[in-house]
Amino acid sequence: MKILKNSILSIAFFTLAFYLAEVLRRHTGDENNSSLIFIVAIVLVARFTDGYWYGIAASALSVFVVNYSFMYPFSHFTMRVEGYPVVAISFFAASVTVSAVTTRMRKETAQNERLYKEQARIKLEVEKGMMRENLLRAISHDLRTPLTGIIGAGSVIYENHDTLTVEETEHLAENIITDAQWLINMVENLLSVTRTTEYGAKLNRTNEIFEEIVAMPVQKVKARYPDCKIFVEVPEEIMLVPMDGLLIRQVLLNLLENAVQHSGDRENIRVKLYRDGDMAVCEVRDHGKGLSCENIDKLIEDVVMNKDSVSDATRGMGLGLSVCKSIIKAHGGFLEAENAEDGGAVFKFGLKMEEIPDYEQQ
Amino acid sequence: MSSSNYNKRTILVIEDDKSISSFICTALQSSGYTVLTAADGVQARQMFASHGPELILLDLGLPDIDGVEIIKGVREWSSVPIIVVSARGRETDKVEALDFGADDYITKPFGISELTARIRTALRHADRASGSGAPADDIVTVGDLTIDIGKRRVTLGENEVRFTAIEYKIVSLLAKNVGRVLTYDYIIKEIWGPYASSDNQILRVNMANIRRKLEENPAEPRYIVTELGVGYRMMEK
Repeated sequence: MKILKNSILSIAFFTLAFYLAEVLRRHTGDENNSSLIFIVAIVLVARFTDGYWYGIAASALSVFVVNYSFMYPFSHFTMRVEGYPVVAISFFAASVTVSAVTTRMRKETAQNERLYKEQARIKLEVEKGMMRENLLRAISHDLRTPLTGIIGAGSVIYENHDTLTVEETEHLAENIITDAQWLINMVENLLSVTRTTEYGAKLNRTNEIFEEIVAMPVQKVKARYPDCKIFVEVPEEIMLVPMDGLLIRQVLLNLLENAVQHSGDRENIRVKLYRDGDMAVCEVRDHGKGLSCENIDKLIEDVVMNKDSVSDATRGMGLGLSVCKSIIKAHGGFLEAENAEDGGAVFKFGLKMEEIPDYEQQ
Repeated sequence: MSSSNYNKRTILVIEDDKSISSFICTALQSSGYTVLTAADGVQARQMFASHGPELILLDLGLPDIDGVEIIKGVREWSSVPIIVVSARGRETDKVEALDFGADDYITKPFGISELTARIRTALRHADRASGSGAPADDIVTVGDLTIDIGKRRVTLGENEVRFTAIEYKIVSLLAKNVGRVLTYDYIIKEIWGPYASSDNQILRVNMANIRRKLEENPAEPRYIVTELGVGYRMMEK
């Protein structure tokens, strides 16, 4: 392949030079500058082919052709013309010099590229390592707390069942259920993470009706926090969106869970679906205390990093958001966070939608 | 429907995890059922052959054999209702189980009220199919929604709901199976015929339109819910 490319290039440059020199000779006669044209061709061959040999071959051929076709006596080869050896030496010198420079240049470029790739890889590794570390830290904290609660409540019931009142037992059992539900959500999140990162975007993508993703998360959150008011608004238009439905529901569940747990608002949490160009957008907004920062990456980092100091107040938030992010990223969509003008936080994600064929006739 | 009709009926619980099996048993016994348990496929077959339970609750993840094999084995000579227990994220397993003849499924983790509701529905449909229970209703009522299958009329509160022919077929199919999950494939074959493409997009667009006519908020359906990755279910009550 390489040989073919190099040969074609050499022949092309050489032929071009030959024709130009021929045209020049017809116009100017005996005193022509054909050697200059050939030297340009040699430089070009040496520059654009690999190694030295094509340039040297082009030089040798040029020495002969210039002598034979473009110098007096025409159509004869002679070494007697004055200055001719100088032309020959110049040809070879030009070819070798350019080849040497070109080869070195190429080597350097390749090395730089390798270096750059290596740096990028290291950076990615470090980022991955940090993510993994953050994740592990978030998980171990988030798992330990509810487990402690479950074991505590369980052992109180087990050891003191004869002295506990019915109400006390009920209350403890309720705590166990709440904590366990929490853990289940954690596990679902972790499963989602493994499905989007470890094995490289293994999405189970099908066309879903966008509004169908809302029912399950809203119902779950309402069941878990019966006092919480969530309002859902969908457009009249039916939106068809290719997605992994299970994962996208997890995104909405996490956003709702965050809104309920961390915004301080349980009166007016709104889920709104709408179309924005060719994107189907889902917006979750609360009317609570708002966000400390409107950059989603920084937000995640802050929450995860400050895990120990902020403690239980932000339990699960970092993990939930980073899961949202990796799911949406795997879908090629966007996830944004901002503060609403009239207060409260707005999280929204968008996915590319598909136009619905007309089924009316069927 | 009086619940005493279903009391002291025998349920075979096939579940290898001891604590799950134990809480299911306790809950079902306190709901008035007689409960048999099996921890693996071999035991399950023995129990089924010797006791002839009236319903089977089957965990798909058994240590010795694939739960689907049990469904196939039972279906060779019995139509006893089978409810499959499976984890979230295993939707294809559920669909496969339903295709092989399971009647319904429940996703882990589940609450006891959800489980007993599924069991009651499955038993009632089984009774009707065998002719021992009340005949299938010609009129199905769910909340404010009434579907009069004989008259092909759907009313929501006082108002009649106008459907296209396809939409009505879907609604009445779900109504005839109220409380049970119907897979996308099953619905498509029933509505569009056995040679219809298994692409469920057209069904889902129709459902979105149905919900716009039936539900106060199509995103929070009360009558017909989406069973993620499986199909649709018309809610009872």
